Amino acid sequence: MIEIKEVTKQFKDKKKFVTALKHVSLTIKEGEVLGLLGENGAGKTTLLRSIATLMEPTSGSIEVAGFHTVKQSAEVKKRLGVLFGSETGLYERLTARENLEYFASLYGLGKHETKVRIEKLAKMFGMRHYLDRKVGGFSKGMRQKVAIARTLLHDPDIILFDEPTTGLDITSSNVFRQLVHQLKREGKTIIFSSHIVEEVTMLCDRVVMIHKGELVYNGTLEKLYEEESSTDLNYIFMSRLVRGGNEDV
Amino acid sequence: MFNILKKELKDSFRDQRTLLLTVLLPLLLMSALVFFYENMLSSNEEDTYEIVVEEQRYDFVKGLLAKHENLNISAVEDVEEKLEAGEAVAGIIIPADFEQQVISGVTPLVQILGDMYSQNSVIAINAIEMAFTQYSQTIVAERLAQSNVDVAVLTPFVMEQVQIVEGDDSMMMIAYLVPLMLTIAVGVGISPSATDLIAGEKERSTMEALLMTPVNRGSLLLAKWLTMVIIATVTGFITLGIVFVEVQFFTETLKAGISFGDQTVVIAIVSLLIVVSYSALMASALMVTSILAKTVKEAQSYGTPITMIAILPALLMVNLGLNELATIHFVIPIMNIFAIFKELFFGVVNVEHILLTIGANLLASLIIFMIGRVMFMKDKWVLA
Repeated sequence: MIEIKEVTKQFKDKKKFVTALKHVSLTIKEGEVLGLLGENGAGKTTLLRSIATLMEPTSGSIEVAGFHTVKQSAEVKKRLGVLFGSETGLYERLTARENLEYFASLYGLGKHETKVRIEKLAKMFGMRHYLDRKVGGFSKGMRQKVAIARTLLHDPDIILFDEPTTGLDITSSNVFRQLVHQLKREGKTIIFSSHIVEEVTMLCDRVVMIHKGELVYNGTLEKLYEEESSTDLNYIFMSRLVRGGNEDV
Repeated sequence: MFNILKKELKDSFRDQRTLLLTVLLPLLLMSALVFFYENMLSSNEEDTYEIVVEEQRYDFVKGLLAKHENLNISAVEDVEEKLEAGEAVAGIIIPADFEQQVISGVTPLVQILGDMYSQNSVIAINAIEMAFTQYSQTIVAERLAQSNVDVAVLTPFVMEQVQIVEGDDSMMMIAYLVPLMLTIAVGVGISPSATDLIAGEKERSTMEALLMTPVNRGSLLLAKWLTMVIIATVTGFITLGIVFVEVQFFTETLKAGISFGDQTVVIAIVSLLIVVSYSALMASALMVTSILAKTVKEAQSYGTPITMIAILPALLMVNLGLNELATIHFVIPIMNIFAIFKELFFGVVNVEHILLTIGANLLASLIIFMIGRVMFMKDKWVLA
């Protein structure tokens, strides 16, 4: 379970402060798939980075599986798998296997366990035939599979995906969606941010809309459709932003 | 931490730029330096210099310069024309009635023509001046003898220069240039890894993935710093190794000049320790620039002046003699590399100076590393 309480995050930009998150409170239950919707710069990545211990909230607190993200960050990290953006973050001069082995060692996995996990993930993502090739020559889809495998290497209970399908072709996007379904069946808790509303519709139990650092909606899709008398999530998203006071829309 | 270090070294040495700059650059720099000096030192004794003189004065000049076998004298119609054409390095113009003028007590003008910016020309001019000065002294001696005056009146006292430090000019230059090349080679050799290990990780977004692992940031930074130190040290060892091998097996003059006798092993070990301390210092400095930058390109912009920083103390140290070196020269990082190598090349092993040099570099390295560590702990410096 993830418990976010009154989280505010401010950045200092030159001489003035910019507020990226404003008093955000949110609870994500075990086994739930939560979709985070918002425009670019709305605060989705800041929220995910704060959950992932990469950023310290200016005020408020976040607990992941009962562990405080600032005071007990190492415990939180053991339970989290994170994939940020379409930048896959792999070492080009290492092979896919070497990349995975390196991260496995950082997560404290033993040699045998590492071998078993890599084999399992390679089979799952169909990447056995290029496991021993250097990542430098991989296509974007191949890289994304290796990056997802790295995220799942230590079998985390909670997985955060930040716009994971941006820039991917249809086949790779579908592979990712199938993976989310499978992880959901395995009981994993998943938060993923996206600005592709169809993806959110397909995968999520619950949706959180975030705009200028504030939550503008937090609930199930059914409830949202009922409230808005529409099932067009694109239309709902835009109208919520207008009501939220977005002058640019 | 060992796993990170192992991976970073593997990744760095798979980068062709690292291999190129840690091995090839020192090889080229040091080979050029060694063979240039070997050639320069040995050629001074054997080279001949072309001198031109007007046809009618050829015999007189030939006789005057007879002892200077390395001066090849030719008779020409126009001395200046031949010099401008680059066919000779010096020329002499003497009045046709030179001897007559000397006998009659008139002071004739002897013009020695040459290019003061050319080393060959200066060598030839010095030799000509020396011959004419001797001829002039002979004439003066004859005139004094005719007037019954003792020649000794011209020499009220004699002077003697005594060199208190063993060695020669070439040793001085080698003692200056080797540390200069070494400091630049270490800086340039470490540069690709330093920029890639932190700024590169931020640019490729591997930094976020790394920070998401349970490894603490301090250990992560220490492993990256150690990787940089190892690569810099390897570059430094290769640089000194190349100098040693080339001087030992491919030169004669330099080999004879650079001889440490019984102290060879001690000087070699001390040199390697100094390389390690300097590598630690450069690793810390370039690590901070890499933390400051968001991209590899930005890190390169910040790092390039640091890799070349050795030029400044090098300029300050170039004219200092061995006895002018004071404690301050061994306390200031980077400057102390030039000071200590100057001593070592002249066979001086001063334990206090060695400890000061190594200690000062390591202390500066530690301070800079701690600044980098404080920065690395802050989100704004590690997240792109």
